[in-house]
Amino acid sequence: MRLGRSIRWIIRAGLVTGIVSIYLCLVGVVGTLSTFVVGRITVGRVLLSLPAILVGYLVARPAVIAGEVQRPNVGRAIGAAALAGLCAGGTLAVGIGIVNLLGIDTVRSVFIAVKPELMAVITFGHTGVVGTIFRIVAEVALAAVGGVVGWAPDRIRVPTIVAVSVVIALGLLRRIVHPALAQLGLRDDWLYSAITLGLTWIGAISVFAVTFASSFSWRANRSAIVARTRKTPATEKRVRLAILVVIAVVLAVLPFLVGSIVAQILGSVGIYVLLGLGLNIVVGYAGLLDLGYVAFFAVGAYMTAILTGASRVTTIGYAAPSFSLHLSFYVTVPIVVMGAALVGLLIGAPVLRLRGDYLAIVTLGFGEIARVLFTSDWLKGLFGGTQGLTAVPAAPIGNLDFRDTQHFYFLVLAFCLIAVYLSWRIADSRVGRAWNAMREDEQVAEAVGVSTVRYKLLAFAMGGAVGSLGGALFAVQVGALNNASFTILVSITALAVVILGGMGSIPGVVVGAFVLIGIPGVLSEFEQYRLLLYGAVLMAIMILRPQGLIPNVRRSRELEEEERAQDKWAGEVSGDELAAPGVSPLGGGAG
Amino acid sequence: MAEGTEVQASPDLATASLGRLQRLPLRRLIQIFLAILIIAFVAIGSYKTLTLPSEDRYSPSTWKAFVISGVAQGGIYALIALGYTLVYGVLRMINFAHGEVFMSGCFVSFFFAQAYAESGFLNRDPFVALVIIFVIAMLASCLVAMLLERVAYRPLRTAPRLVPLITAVGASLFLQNTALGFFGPETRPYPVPDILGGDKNWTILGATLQRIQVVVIMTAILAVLGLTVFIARTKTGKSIRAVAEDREIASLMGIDVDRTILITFALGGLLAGIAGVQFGMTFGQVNFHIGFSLGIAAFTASVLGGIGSIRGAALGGLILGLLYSVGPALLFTGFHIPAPFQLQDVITFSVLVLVLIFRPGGLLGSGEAEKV
Repeated sequence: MRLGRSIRWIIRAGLVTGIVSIYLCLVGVVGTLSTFVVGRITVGRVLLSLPAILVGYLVARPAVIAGEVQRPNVGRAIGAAALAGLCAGGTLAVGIGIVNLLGIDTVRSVFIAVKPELMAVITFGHTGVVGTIFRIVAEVALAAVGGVVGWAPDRIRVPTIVAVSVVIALGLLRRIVHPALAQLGLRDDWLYSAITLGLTWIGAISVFAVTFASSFSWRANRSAIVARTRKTPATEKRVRLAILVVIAVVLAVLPFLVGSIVAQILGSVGIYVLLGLGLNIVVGYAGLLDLGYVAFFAVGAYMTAILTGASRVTTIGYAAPSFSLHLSFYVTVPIVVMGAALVGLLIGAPVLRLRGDYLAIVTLGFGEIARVLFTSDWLKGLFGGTQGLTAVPAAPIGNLDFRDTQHFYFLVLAFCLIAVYLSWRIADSRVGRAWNAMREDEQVAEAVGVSTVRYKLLAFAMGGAVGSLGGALFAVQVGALNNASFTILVSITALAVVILGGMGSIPGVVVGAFVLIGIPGVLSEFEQYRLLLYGAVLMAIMILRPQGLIPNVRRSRELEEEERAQDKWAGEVSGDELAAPGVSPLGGGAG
Repeated sequence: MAEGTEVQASPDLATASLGRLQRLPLRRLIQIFLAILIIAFVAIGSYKTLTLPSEDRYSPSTWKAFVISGVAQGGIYALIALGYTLVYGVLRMINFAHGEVFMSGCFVSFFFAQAYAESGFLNRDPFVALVIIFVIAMLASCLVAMLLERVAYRPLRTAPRLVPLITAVGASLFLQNTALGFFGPETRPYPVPDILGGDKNWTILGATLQRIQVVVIMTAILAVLGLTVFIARTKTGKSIRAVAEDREIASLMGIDVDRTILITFALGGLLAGIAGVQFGMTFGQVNFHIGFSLGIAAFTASVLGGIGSIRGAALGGLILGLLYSVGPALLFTGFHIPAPFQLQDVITFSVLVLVLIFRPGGLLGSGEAEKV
């Protein structure tokens, strides 16, 4: 992909960068995201600068020509980066010129994000030609900075990227870090400014220095440390145990460290971990793309609400649904799980023979049918129509009712741990291996005696059962169900969680849920761009790294084998740094 | 058998435990049972609706209006369905984001229509203005479709089948929320020139049609004919057919496959743009999420007609449009189900599922010979 950096390639990269920057401005992220990261630098400004820095970085990276690494000299690298920045700046300048020519109000009648505040961010508060020149200079400078990092040898480059990422993350996550430090009795007024709520410059620089130094020395001594800890199976076991203990302690104290608001977000993350794990069984293990996963979520939530005795909202007040029990939550859960498994069988049975992409669309249809039925006037007596059900009882054990977000977290955590354990055990069981075989090649699997009908149904049933747990907990968490909670977006979010982490990977699901649910939850102003992010994540992961961030180990091995067979695609993709060679884990389907 | 009918694995692959079951035509039995159930439901539902006491019954003129609006809606479905069918023909992939391509054309043309309405151009010179609006919508949709192909799908040309599909789901979400970010969340009124306004009717063969419905039906017919001629007669059309037949052989014959695929997306985009203006003028409104449900409905239409077949997409669109407008009233009113039109989407998806179970090749999907 990136063979020989011709001038044309560089100019094209610069122009694309400029267009991406303009896109970011128009879609609104630059102007509206005004959380301060460091000093007076807002998230919007960081996002506006990123494309230029990235293009400079990529342009200055050593090129691989015919398998040989060609390292440009520093002047050339930075010159090329600056040229790309100039092209990006030029493109932006055209955009600024158009806005100046037509007037902000005219442009704003179409693109609602174009406001004086946005223009001030782009042109550093200057107007007319001066502002435009400022922007061009800034783009060139940013690209050059990116170029320096890209050109630098790995021992400098990697720690720099790590340190910058940590600084930005700390700047964004004050809502988590600040209460946590306060709980631990640590002062953070040197780190966070009390006025902007972002990092102070002193804080940012010291964090950068510390992370850079530790990352640098870790890289230098990594092999020695690894050799020392992994010498014998016994030490390896001890290290693994230590890591487990640390994770357990962190999970146990987390909600009290971060405060009750963030604990609620953690609860939502947990619910999506459950949804992700369930969908992971269907998509990751069995290789069946299910776009209607929300059906199980809805079944879990509504069944729980009805069986535990929720009320229906009517125009004259509350009323009991036409069928209602007052069971305890813990009696309800097994019934819900069985019910959802049954629904999984019902949905799975008619579509089993469909090839992958048809299966996806049909399941999408089932998801929509489920939503429409649950919220229709027809079944209003049972499910409350669009107003839905409310006053879902809590899930008490003894005196503890888990209503408080910090307590509810532990309820979710318990369910997540059970689901993780189940997923982990089933992956290596006979069933898991059957799924693997089926995913890799359905016909061969049948030929060697795997009953694909049975195992597909089993995948649907088990995936549905795990997903319904998420629904049950959701019902208890929010206490009220209505039509807004069960849209197709739940299915797509769960899919994004699975895809980001890597299909078939349990740690991947957890990380995916933290990144895709946790981070937008903490950065509340980011909420409106959440779906944009999910769309971008789905596309970017599939194009650049189809095996996900934390690939399943066995899956990776399978991928390497398959790589030889499909070297054409791998060859196209692996030219890029970001993309490890490989094909998608979704090899299933009889097509 | 066409690609779409590949869903039945041969029974000799069945395992020992299932052998007994497979020998009984269980699948067949279930299918027949389902079919009887559905036919009974449709028959009883229709009978009950049509024999309701006369004060609850829909009048014949209401039914006529349902049918006409169904045909007009079917025209819009058909044009979008053609986009799915074309892309499926050459790439064997479901371009999930095609609904968003339609939405882009509708939204971009809205701003021009609005500006023309404000300046009075739209009513002073409605014919010229309409042509410009149609062209703008077609160009916008075409551009989005080509960008989509270039950025999202081209890198995945040889990837396993589900990878482009997941990408397409992502692209759909991305485009939808881009429109939200660009243009805002409000539903906006799409201006209609006075001569096509809702109260202006034409009477053709005893039926009263709104003028806009006539325009929609006529443009849809013209577009389908135009596309058929383009695919059948032009050199580019020939290369599209060749790529649909066998991509590798086509490239050996000197056809630029990437360019042909790009042109196919562009064609789908042009048709979606036409549908965008038709939708805007028929329903008089546009917002950022119109693409999703209409896209699914159009996809259903193309599967119903036989994905990969142009005539199939047109027929499927027509049938689905009729089902959509007549179906809820006909099937559900008799059972006294409240608000039957809420269940429109249930009909769409049920049709999709049933088609895939009973006739995965679609109504006109006859075989290899007709992929595009």
